[in-house]
Amino acid sequence: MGDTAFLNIDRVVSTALNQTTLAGLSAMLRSICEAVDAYGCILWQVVPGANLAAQPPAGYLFVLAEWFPGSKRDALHDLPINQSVTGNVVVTERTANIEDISVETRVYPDPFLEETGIKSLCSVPIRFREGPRGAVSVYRTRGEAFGDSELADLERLAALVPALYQAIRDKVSLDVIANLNTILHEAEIRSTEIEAELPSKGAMKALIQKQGREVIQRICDLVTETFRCVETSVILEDRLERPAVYELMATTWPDPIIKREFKRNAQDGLTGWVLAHAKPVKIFDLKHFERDRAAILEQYEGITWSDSLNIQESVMRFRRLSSEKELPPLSFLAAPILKGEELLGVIRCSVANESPYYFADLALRLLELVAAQIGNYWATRVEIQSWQAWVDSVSDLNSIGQKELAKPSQENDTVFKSAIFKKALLVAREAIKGAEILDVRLLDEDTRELFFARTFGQAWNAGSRDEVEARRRKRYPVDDPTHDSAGASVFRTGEVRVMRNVRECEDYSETFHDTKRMIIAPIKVEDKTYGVLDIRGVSECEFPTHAGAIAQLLAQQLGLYIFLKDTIDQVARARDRQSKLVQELRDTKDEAIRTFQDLAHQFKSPIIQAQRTIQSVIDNTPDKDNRKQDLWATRGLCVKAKNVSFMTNLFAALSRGENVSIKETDKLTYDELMKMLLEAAIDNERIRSPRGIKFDVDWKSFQEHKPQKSRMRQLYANRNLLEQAIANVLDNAGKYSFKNRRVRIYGGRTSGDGFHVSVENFGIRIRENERELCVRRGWQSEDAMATSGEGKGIGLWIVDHIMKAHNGQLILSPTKPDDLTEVRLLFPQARVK
Amino acid sequence: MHILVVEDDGLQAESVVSGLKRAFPRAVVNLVETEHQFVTGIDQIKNDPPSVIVMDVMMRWTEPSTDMPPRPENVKRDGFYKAGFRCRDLLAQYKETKNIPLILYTVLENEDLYMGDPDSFGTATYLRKDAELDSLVHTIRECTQMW
Repeated sequence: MGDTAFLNIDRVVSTALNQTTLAGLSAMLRSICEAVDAYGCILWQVVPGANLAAQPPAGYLFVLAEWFPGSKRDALHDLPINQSVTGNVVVTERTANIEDISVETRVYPDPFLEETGIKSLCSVPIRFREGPRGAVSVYRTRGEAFGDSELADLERLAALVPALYQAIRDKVSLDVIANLNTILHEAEIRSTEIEAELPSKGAMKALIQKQGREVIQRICDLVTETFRCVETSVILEDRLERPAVYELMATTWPDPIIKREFKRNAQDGLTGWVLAHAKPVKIFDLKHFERDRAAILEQYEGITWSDSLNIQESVMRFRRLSSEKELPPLSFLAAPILKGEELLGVIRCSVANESPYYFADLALRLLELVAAQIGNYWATRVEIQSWQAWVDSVSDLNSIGQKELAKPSQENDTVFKSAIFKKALLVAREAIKGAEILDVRLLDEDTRELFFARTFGQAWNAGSRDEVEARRRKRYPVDDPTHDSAGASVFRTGEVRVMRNVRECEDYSETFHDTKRMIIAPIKVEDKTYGVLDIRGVSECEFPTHAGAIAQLLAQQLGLYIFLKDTIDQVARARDRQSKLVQELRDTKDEAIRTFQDLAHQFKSPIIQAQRTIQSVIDNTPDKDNRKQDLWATRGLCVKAKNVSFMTNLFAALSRGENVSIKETDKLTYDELMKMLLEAAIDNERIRSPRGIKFDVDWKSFQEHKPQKSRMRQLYANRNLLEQAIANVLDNAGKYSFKNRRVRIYGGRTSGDGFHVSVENFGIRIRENERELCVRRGWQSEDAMATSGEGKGIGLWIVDHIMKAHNGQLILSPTKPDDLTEVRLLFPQARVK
Repeated sequence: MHILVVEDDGLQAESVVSGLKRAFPRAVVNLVETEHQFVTGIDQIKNDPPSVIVMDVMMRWTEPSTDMPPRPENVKRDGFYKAGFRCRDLLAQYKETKNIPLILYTVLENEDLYMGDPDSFGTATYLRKDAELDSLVHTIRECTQMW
């Protein structure tokens, strides 16, 4: 091999390795032309599906790349293998050197040859690395065959073509990926800048969306540039905004595109098929879609092509081809954009502007690489947006939670939970695409059943009123294995459950027939489980991969709120109890002060008055009767003071929790008792004389007995206590009697052989419901409080204790219609003789 | 001179009224026996202001009867312990009565009475009830400058 040959090889290889696009193949072919002094060069490849072994061989050769001076490309045609010299070269794998094509009958009569004035050709067979065969054909416009050395050079260079073609494609692939990474890296920096600008929530969303579209557009431009194609379009699902709708995000197609949205429907054209099957599609030439339908359907079952871009007419227009001109090849590629197994969209390319006009398998693999990069970018972006939306939503939930928690604890617990649950369900719906029917179930502590505490989604209101109510009333036992359910299981285990297909779950309990998938997350805090959060999906839209984690977090958040609310309520209740206790203590203290004030008042007043009366007796010289009256009054006042003093001691003892005890029992004779009653009556009458209250002792009542019994001879009682009890009862009778009325003191044996002393008066009323209250410490009826200038409702309380200490009873009869009230001191038979 | 005695204890009222009549023979001494009577009689007091008012502190709201006037909320809240103070506050509301000398005349010690509020007497004079009426008479003279 001479220096020239080496130089030629060097030039060709250098040229090839300097290419950055697939169209760079042309440059390599040009250097081959220059090496062998050819006019032009075509790199042929056998179409997929061709059968070289058939007789005659079936299939075509297509132009993988070509170089001719000027722009002659549009006139190139596929070559039938069995009707062309080059086809024969490929089949026989022998070089053909045709000096004069006009006399060579095997040369396919392509108008291109005539139009370009080609006279001779030489075709060298090659094998591409992936296996398909092809040929490198060089052409001359002068009728001169390629010489031996030229032929040898050509064969050497042709042998390099598959490797160089591979090298160019690999290099292009690497460059595309590198450029793609640059675009994505810049996008990442821009995202950081956007975040650093701290825009509002709405502005951030708009900026991120705009940036997303810009990035995708740059990728489309890059692919279009690499493949030298007319269209690169990227169709993606904006899961946060429009789940299950695949929208055209960016395109290089020059015309407005009418069909901008796709569903995962295999019948929805080529793009729909890719979306439905999540598999790539390569259509060799859309122009021959109908011709090649069988082979295409064999490879892509059920695929259709609707030509939504009106591609044939559009390409004619773009290239300014007259109607008689044949369309150039309309190759098509589409690859699913995936993140793992999750389909995010599709990227498609169509119609190469330069050779290679047909997208090779390697182009498809390159497109799949690009798709994978887009998938990563888009999934990350969706995830960031999704988490951002989630964070925003949880932030809103927290705001509501804090607001609700800050409300007074007295507020109804149901109101709090309703507000929080509503927001949480809204957040769940926003954060988990495909979450369509949601609810919160809580545990009924009494029945140990889960019940629906809050529901969300139109499905809850579907059907008749009875159906709706029956649905909402449904309950789920959590401890009953014979009626187990997925919700009960989650409640018990405390583990979130993601059911991608509810029909496959044995313990799934159906509430909505259309439910396809469901997430159940426990609402709990540590070991305390309050209920479950249910999220159901009925549409085709799958739950995102992180849906379970979101549901779990949300349910935990709810658990935390319930826990906080309970805790706050408990603290508030404890605080209230403490406040009440403090207030009670304060009231008790105030009450005690007032009671002692009152007792002091009751004690001092009669003493002062007694002193005044005595002073009056000393100062004046009234007649004998008046003096006697004054002395009686003085005596009464002193007795009252003594009684108050005694009562003060009793009150103090009882307040300390001690009981009234009878240390000494006196044997009171009938006469002694009568004297005690009489003196008490006189004393009180004098004290109440300004109001005209009279006190009568009904002697006869003590002597007349029905049924006939003997008169009481002795009463076993503590004299002081009895005197106190009588004094208190008479004091009340005087205090609460209407002006100028009589108080009657009577008594005698009872039918049960006991003994009673009773006091009747006409005054303020004791109602039936007040009888028991009257003997409580500190209780006074409204009428008593209105008419009392002393006393704190302890008089009858003390009397009651005194009577109980005597195993007796204090009996209050409700006031009769004529305003008559009776208070009875009843002694048991054991104390009477 | 016109002295108004506000006292719900009948016996004490009798002795105070008779004692004051003896001390001030030309004085007109009137008696009011309940807080309600004082409240409903405020117009009469405004029309004919007494020279001095001798006021008990712990007083009942009304006399027992078949048609008793209900207690107002403030009376229910504070009870009979503050009756004298409420009457004092009522007097302070009217220009005709706010300057009438007022003697709070009670058996209670003053520190027991004001219960932590030393200003509770205001411009009124506190006087502890005593067996003899001399101190009351003296205080009335001081208040009215009737020597």
